[in-house]
Amino acid sequence: MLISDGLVNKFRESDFVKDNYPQNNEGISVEISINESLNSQKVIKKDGYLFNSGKDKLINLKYSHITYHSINKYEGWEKEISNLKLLIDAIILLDKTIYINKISCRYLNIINLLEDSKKDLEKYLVVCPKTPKLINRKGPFLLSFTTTEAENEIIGTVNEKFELINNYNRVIVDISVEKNVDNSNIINTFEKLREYKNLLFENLLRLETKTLFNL
Amino acid sequence: MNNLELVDIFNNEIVIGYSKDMKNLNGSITLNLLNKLNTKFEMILVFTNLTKEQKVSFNKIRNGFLEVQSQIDSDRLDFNWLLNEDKELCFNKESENGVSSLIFNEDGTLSYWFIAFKNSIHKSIRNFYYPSDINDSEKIVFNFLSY
Repeated sequence: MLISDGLVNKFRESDFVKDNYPQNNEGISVEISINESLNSQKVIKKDGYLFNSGKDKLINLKYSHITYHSINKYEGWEKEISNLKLLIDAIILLDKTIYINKISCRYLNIINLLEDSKKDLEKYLVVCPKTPKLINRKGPFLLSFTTTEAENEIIGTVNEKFELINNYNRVIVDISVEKNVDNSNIINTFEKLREYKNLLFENLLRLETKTLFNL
Repeated sequence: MNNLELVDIFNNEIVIGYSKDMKNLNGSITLNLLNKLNTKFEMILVFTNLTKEQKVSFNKIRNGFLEVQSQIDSDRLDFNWLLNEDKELCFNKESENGVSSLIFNEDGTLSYWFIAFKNSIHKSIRNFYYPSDINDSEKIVFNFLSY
């Protein structure tokens, strides 16, 4: 999705934003370091806007994509997909020619396991860092892998970060699922993404973890 | 006590947890940080001021890359890019056979070059596309990556 300055301005002035996301719609900037050559460069570019509902929702509008964030508290899938649909409808109302070519969902889980679990992380998670015993296992360790669901052509990316903090083994389980679309069936496709995300998460956890957290 | 929590992307533990390991992507926390191909395309869009016409060609070729990514190892899709003094966006890839380039011109036209090295068994290639000709972006991307 490529978003024009015209759409950005119309969105900022829209009733949808005024009614639902009244706060903090200031321009945001992004800082990028590029190290692809010996001459490292840094640039700061204006890259879109943040729209805050004031308590639990945030929209990040960039020129390449829009992200909807549920902050503070996850209110359940039905509520989130309903909010997302309102956002998509508002965008399409402002620009009927907009073409959505990819959608994605990202779920971030933090799992804190007491320190005595550090030698037995494999007991709790299917994918763990494999290190020789002599190596300090405090971390941090980062693991990443990509997987594809062939039937619906969904790409899943799992990032896991392991770190020993205070008395806890802290594990970030970061799951993104994405799919190319052709501007149609957006909400139904989000449902499929959610199903695959749930499948991935479930298969990353051992039975001990599910029992521990009553999942 | 053991606990599991679903958190938001702006949660301090997430921001601090990632940013100290990924200093090169400060401020880009809405990106999928480890999906290198996506990150590269996002960076190009942010870093360059492509013309409307360039964006049309760019978007088609990006879709081609994403199609190809679903079929082959994403690590093999790596390439360098630069915006030259003529404001042309160039994707470059060098191999033992030669140099491949995709050049997005300001007017939206796209050039594909393969310049073969002296002892290569391959011949040099030059193709030129108007934006409306870029119907099979996947094939163009495969050609770019093949040599």
